[in-house]
Amino acid sequence: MSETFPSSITPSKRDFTLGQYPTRVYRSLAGTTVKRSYGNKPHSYQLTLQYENIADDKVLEFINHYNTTGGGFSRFALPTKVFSGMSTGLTATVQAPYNIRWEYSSPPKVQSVYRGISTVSIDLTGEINV
Amino acid sequence: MSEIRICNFFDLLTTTGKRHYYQNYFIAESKSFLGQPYAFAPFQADGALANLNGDNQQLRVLFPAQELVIRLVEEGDGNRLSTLRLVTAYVNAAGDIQNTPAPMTDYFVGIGATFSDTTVELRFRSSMDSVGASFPARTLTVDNVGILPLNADLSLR
Repeated sequence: MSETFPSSITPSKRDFTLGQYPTRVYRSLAGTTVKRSYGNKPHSYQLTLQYENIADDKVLEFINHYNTTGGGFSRFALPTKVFSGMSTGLTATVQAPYNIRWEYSSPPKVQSVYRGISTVSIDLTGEINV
Repeated sequence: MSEIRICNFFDLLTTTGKRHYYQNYFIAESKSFLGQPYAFAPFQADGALANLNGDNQQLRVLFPAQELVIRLVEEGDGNRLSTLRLVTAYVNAAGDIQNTPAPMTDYFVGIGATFSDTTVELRFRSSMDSVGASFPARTLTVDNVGILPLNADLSLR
């Protein structure tokens, strides 16, 4: 069993959201705010991938990967193929932000399109690996 | 000041004589402070630091249940014989430790630890008791109050 994220196909859609910095805000009765920072690195990056109209054997690769990682328990790195089309600089930032490893934030969704053809949606969260 | 960045520097001396240095702000970094490298550990410290009566105040340092924390507890004989120096320092936007306001240092002694499935709580008390007008603390003895009851129900008149 391999824990490598499937890298034979490129996603049809890709949404990336930057991580948040760990802060809390205190708002006084007067309306002013004081913010406290708890760390110097962002966490909880979000990445949504969609693989449209792919063969069912490719769908199986994603399902197997989800199961071998314990369904979101183990974290993993993403292959460059996931970021095809992005510039090198942007890929470097998005693919592996500082000490970030990816995990499934929800189970992959499989939508049947045609006989032997499906669309897979994958939601990933990038968390700090210490 | 409407933006606050605070780093806790955790310096634990266990019964083996080994010191453990951790900080909780600079993620996945080793931060040099007062000549010592402090590795990152995801802990939080909360509790009272002092009051006017100088009573023992309790401090709780909460860690995730990682191997290194189990080692901290075991080396301090269940965290009952460890001593802690906790420094609270302000950090500026560039990530530098600020000298103004000066870092605050507090000393504690271990009083035990509590385990749960995901966390380990190290408990401490401030290291000096009753630094106040009634120090040393008054003690009830047969000489000054007569026969003492066997339970804790005292009626003072």
